[in-house]
Amino acid sequence: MSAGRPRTRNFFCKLALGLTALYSLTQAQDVYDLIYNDVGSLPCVRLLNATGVIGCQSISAATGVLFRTDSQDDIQQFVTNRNLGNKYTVIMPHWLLTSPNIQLLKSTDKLGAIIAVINGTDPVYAVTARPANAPSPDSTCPNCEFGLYSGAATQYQWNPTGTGLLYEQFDFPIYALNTMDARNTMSYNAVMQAASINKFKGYTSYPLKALQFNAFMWGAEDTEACLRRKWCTPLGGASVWATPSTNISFTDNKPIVVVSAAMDSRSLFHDLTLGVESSLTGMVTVLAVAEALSRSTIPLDSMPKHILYTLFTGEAWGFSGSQRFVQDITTRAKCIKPAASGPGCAFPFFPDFAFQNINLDRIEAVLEAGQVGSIRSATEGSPSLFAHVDSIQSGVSAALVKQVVQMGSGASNDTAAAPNGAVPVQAADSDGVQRGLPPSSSMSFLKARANIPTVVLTSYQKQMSPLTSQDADDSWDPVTTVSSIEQAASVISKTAWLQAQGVADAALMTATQQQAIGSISVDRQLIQDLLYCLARNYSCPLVDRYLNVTANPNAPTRLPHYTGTLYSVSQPYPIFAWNFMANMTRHRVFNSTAPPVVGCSSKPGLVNCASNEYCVGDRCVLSLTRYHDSYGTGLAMNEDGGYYIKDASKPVWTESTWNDIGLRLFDVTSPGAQKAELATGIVLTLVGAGVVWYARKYVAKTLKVD
Amino acid sequence: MAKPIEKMGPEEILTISKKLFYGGFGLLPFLWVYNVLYIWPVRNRSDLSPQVRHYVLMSGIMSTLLFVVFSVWFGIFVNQRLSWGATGDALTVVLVKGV
Repeated sequence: MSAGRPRTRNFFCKLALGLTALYSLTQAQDVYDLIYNDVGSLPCVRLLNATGVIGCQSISAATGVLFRTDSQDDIQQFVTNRNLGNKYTVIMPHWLLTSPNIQLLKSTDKLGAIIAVINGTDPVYAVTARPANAPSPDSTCPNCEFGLYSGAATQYQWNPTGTGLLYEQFDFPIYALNTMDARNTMSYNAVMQAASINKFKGYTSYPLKALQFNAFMWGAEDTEACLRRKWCTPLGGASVWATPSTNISFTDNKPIVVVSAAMDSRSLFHDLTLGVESSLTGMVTVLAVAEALSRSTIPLDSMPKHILYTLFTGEAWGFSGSQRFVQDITTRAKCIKPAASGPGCAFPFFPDFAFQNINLDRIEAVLEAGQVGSIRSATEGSPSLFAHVDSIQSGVSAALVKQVVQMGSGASNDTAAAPNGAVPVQAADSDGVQRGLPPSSSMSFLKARANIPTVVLTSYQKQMSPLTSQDADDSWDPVTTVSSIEQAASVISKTAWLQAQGVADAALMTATQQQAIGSISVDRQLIQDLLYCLARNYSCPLVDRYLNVTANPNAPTRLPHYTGTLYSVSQPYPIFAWNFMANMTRHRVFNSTAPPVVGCSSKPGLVNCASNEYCVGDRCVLSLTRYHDSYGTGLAMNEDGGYYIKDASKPVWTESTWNDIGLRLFDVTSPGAQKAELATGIVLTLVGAGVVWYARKYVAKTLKVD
Repeated sequence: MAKPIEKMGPEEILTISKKLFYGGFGLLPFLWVYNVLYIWPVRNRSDLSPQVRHYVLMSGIMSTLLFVVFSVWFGIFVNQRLSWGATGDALTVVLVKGV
């Protein structure tokens, strides 16, 4: 190169340097990509309560060669196979993830991690391949320690086959695979393909495909220690309550009829929690009731009694939502530090105080929809609905339960009763056994005031659905389930209507009432739409009408019904519930010809709602629908926004903070090859050191440098 | 380079030994250990004042005593830290996550 062009050379030097730097950067990524394949993950995480921890923890990154087991026999073979000398990631269908199997796998010292497949394209993981008798992973009486009968010597066990898996703790990672959307299907395909390669190689001819898991949970000991160190967040979210009586006040002396359900449920993998039978059927029932009652030709806010809808979040965690709601309406806390703006309070934190208009002493009836989907194994016969009442004060609810049964029986000849062919409704104690109330939100009301007439409607009489708290509680029967919910909604809406009208006996209705109650009918299509939207695809027309979800470039599909953590990770289902209820309970001016104000969402700035109105589904509505914070009543917030345990006997569930969670696929060489690699490295180091030592000595001697 | 202890006079050794012993009470217990180790090679020199021997012995006793006390405390702390609740956390410099 000519010396007369230094500038050019300089430029080329810089360019070369820059390119080298860029190259090594991209190459570092290339090398990473060459070794690892990051896979989307659905983890089991650690939760804490007053006495300890549950869920999964792995202190160091666990790795394991993928090993596929499709049956109990496969697991046995894995355990007894002496040719397997590594740590393994055992892939299994979710129903094989049982305590005995986990113990068995742990005893081999070969277990690195477990992957449970909930749904997959392989026939082994198909919904039809699921065993009908897979037991619930919840306890034998879910949340009963926080329920109405927690003080009793013996409690009726509503979930006798419950394995309690959800309450165990595991010191290795457990992840799920589920082909529920495009991203998770990619993960599923990547992992299953890698497992097939391993199987093809007989799990012995290396290199084999392995997975590395990161699942380090910070939280330890119990909620008390964890909150002190600020390593966990209370489980919670937003409950929703609504009433057509926009003018309800604490002192109006008007009785209240409560229609209630839980919105959330739990399962081992929170991203997968749907709880179709566990809670969604009840939630859909209450939404359908609100829609049915909104058709009443007698305005609901003009009735002798108020109707109050409550949809609770956090119910799967010791009835956190309902207990906090009842606690807040009864204690009527004074505001110590007002909010900077708006009607709320900064401490104790309340966004507004509308809930203080609800008077617990005025509640005259509680109607709750529990598991009403009749999603069960074929052996249990045709679907039926059962009305449960409290066993301690059963007399209080006698009239109410009679009315519920009457509304569902179709036996009486008035127009209010259900048509023949509908799902039959009967008192749960019609077999002469008083079991009391099953685990339900109603218990929270009764704990505060025991003599409220209360009926909990479920599709079981003696035993909760085995689907309770299962990750596989994700499907329903398009006919039976919808009919069952339809009947539950019909019975509850008519009973609530009669109660609100103050009619004790349907046979004694006036002609106007007879006609008006006929206007209440449950929309079967709405039930189907709600089930589809809330369990399959949130970007459906119904939700879109309220929330314009499809405008989002990443339109949501299946969304979990796990409550999430308070004020940090909240779920969208309460937002939909709020909008739907606000619309259904909106203040209506009867015989008014004024058109509704439309466009508040589609034409922002041009159409503005009045200050007391909300923009719901592009329309300005006046509505008394509110969110209510839900978190364990054993917890309390202090002035600096931290939490502490106020009463350890009440629910205090928290979720641990964690480092990045993730999985990645990579090739692993045989343990022998790994040892050889290490030995080669050591030998090379020693040889290198020797050569350097000798070379120095030689150079010093030759050049005579001292 | 500092003068090796073998070349020091008895007065100098006495001063150092005394300073090290009293210095140890200033929350510097390692000075006691150091005192013993430093004087050890010259402990049998005949020209040394008997006071040196006294300081070294006392330093040895103090360091041994403290070693026992610290070891016992460490054992108790490690095993009981979690059961002391908020106090335990306050006494811990770096809280260990996950356990």
